[in-house]
Amino acid sequence: MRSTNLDAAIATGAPPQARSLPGTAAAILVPLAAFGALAGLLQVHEQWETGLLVLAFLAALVLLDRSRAGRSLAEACRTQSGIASTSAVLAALALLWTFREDHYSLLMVATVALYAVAGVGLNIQMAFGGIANFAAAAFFSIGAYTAAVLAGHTGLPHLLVLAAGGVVSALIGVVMLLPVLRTRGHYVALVTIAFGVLLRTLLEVNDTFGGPQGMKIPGFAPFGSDFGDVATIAGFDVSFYLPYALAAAALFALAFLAGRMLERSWVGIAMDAVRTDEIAASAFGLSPARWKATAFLTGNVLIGVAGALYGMMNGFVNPNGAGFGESLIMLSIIVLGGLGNFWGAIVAGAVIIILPEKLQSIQEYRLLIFAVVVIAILRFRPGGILPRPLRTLGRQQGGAS
Amino acid sequence: MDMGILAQHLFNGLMLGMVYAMIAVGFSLFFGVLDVIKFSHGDVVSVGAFAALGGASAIGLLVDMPGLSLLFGLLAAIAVGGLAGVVIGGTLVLPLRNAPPVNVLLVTLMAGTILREAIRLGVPNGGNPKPFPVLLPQWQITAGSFSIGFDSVLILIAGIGIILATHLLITRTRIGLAIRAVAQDVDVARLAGIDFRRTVLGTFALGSALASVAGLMLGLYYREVNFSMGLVLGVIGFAAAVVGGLGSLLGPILGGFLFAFVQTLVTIVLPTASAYKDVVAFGVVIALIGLFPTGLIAERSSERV
Amino acid sequence: MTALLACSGLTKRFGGLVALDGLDFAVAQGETIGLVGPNGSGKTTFFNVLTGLYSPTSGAASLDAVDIFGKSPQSIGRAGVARTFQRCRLMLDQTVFDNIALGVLRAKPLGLLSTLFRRGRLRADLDATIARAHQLACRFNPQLGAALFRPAGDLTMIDRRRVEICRALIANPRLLLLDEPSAGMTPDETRRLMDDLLAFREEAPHLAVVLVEHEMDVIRRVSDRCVVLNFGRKIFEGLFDAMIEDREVQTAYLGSGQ
Repeated sequence: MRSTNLDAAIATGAPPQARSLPGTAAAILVPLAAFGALAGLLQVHEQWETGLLVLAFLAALVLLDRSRAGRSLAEACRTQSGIASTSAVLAALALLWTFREDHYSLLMVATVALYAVAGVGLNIQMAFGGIANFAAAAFFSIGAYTAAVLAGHTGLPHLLVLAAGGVVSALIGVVMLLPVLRTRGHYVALVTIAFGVLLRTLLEVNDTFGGPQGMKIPGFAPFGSDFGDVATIAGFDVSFYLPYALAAAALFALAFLAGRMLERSWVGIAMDAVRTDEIAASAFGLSPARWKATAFLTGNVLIGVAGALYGMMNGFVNPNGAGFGESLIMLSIIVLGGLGNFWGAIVAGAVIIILPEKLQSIQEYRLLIFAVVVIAILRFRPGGILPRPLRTLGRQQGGAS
Repeated sequence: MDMGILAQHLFNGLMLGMVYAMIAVGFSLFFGVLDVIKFSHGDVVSVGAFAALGGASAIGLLVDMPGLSLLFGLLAAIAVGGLAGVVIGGTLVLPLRNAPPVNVLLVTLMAGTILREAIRLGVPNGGNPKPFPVLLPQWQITAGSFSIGFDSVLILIAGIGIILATHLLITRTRIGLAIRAVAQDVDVARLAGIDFRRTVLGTFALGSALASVAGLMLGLYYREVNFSMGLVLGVIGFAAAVVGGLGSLLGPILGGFLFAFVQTLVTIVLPTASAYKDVVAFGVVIALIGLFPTGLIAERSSERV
Repeated sequence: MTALLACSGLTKRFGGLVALDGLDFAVAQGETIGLVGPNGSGKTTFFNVLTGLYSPTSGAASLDAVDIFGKSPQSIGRAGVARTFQRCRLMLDQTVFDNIALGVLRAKPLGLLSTLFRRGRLRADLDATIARAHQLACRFNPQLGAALFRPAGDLTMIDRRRVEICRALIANPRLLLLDEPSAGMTPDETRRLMDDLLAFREEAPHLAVVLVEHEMDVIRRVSDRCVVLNFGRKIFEGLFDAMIEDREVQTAYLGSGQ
């Protein structure tokens, strides 16, 4: 049924019309199921339950990828991304409300969302701009340190503090532009690795920003009242992490939207062209330097903003967060999730951040397991859990217009 | 500053430079034959150090002959380290060589994590620093206020010898010729009858053995080994190789000594701020890459349009 | 006849190697020139210098009296020069449309803020460009027009070439440089591609084309005039029939014979 649709569409040159009723149902149900699984992961306590959930997750992944029905489910979510996104937003809100009193789960969810915001930034840098940034955690920490200085020592409104986190992170990125733009591939990777190590060591040995102890950061108070003091919303008892989780989710929604809009525009095509073939791109009048710089700095803004909110949520920041290992985790999240797929960052973030917390008994082996899982996915599914879909444009967009 | 302490610093810098160079050469060799960065390379240093520790300790339990222990330690380091390199190269790097570079980087970083964790969890009390047995004669050489262990001099000489030998191996032997041919052009090398897979794995074995021996030397010099020692050494070795020029042989050696030189210089000039030595060294790395985007000894690179 | 493209004394040195040696070259509006010469004779270097990928060592070049000598690829492209590549340079993971759109990208609003906040205009612009790309692609092959949102990597060799040509044509260039379009194709595919070009030629009579090609058959059918390069120097300029009779050209191709 669907495939004849597609063939007809191709024959006429019209964009595929895939708005069938079962397709719409799929676009609604798949995000619901995904967030249901996340809720399950947050809920479970027993090791065997976690294990079962992981197995179910893997099975779902294999089914989505290998079975006909699974592939058309995935296709339905792609062609009706507007419906799928709406369903995801509602599911996320329902999830947050369900866990409204659970400090720990909310903290986990907020962390995943903020790492995913940074993931959008990192995706813009790597998946679009082709710049391997191995210092994401360093720029994330720069955002947090900025928040510590500005929120702790000035009266700047906190929404501006968040923005400042992004701006400072981008400005410090400017220092690295010259080596980043003049080099490619592995050399860029080294520049960022060197920067990350440098920044972390500097924060550690220099006492201006608190040395190894780091700095305290006041809680996020965008409209005058500190999120940390929130205890009830509309008469319901809630954890003070609920507003943080909501803010983090909202930030992700914004970052997602902005990233998606950039991707589905001339800018997105320009970045892809520069990344894939600098020579062809410059022969057609694009400046590789301009687009790499744009990708790098835009990405840094998002990473910095995420870091600022993360810092305010945690109440402190120290040099450990800027380390190479942390950067590696952020990078793993987007590569595992699927380079260029913003939803992938949420899925992989949940796997990498929440799962180990649930497997306390194998705490000792968590790095080992983490490493094995990353290798397995990259070896057997190089596009990540959710590979980046082809760009859809114009009338194709979501089938909406 | 006191001349003796100055000389001590310089000697220490030479030693570090040599170790960095031995690690960096591996990065450069791998890049030469496969155009990949194998980031587990740093952890192969730790693997070599622990293999040497195991081999030497095992002999030490049987007979009290430091020379024999050292020999066995050396053999163990070469064998285990080389094997680790070949296994990672054959199972992870070769199959992924057409994947995006960042995938290879990430996979090998994770392979390094596995090596590191395997040491931490597999060696009894592996999470803590381990003393390395004294295997070399303990004579002191004293000149004024400068005093140095004979063992340290031996290690330095051995290291320089190994680097020279590697250079000869690459430039003068058939194996070296095969490696250089593959690095130049894989297809032509294949047509010339060179077994690509064997050459690549051989390169992995060679580079990894070098790194392992560097690990053994660090153990002998500092009398202590640590499961995580390889991580930062890997980053430094990579930095040295890139700054010197990936794909060349002289470049990474130059880069290694340069890195150590900058570190040592900071320690000498700013003794109160020696904690900044890595900050300065990595700053220099970033600046040098900005100035020489393809390394001091430039990599062959011109793309046909 | 006034020249659209006029080069004089164009020289490009790579260290000691002289890849282009004082080349004088002119193309008139609507003219198709076959550019031939043995491998390494400087044909592709000429294209690379013309399009600004290499900076020339000395000489002069102008397009319709606009100086393009040593200018950036951006400004040369704006002046109206477009090209294809000898080795297919498509983004194989991206859609056919993405690849064709690269041809007009420099004329599009590329600011981040306008991209984020002027979506209506962007969407209209996208739709118009999609329609134009569709029309161009269909002119060569209706199936190609239908595959606009398929990955370019799924296409056959000849369709990839067509995409490259669409990419060069979408910006309405005044001078089109085709670098060995028949490379890697079967004789039959080459013939079909030539038919495409000839048909297109009739619809765009003012477009000037320089075609680098080894297939003499293609050169004979398509070009008005031929230019032969050897060691970076022009050794012949004239009609096809005169070219194949020319002694110096024969020597260059077949070796000195002594």
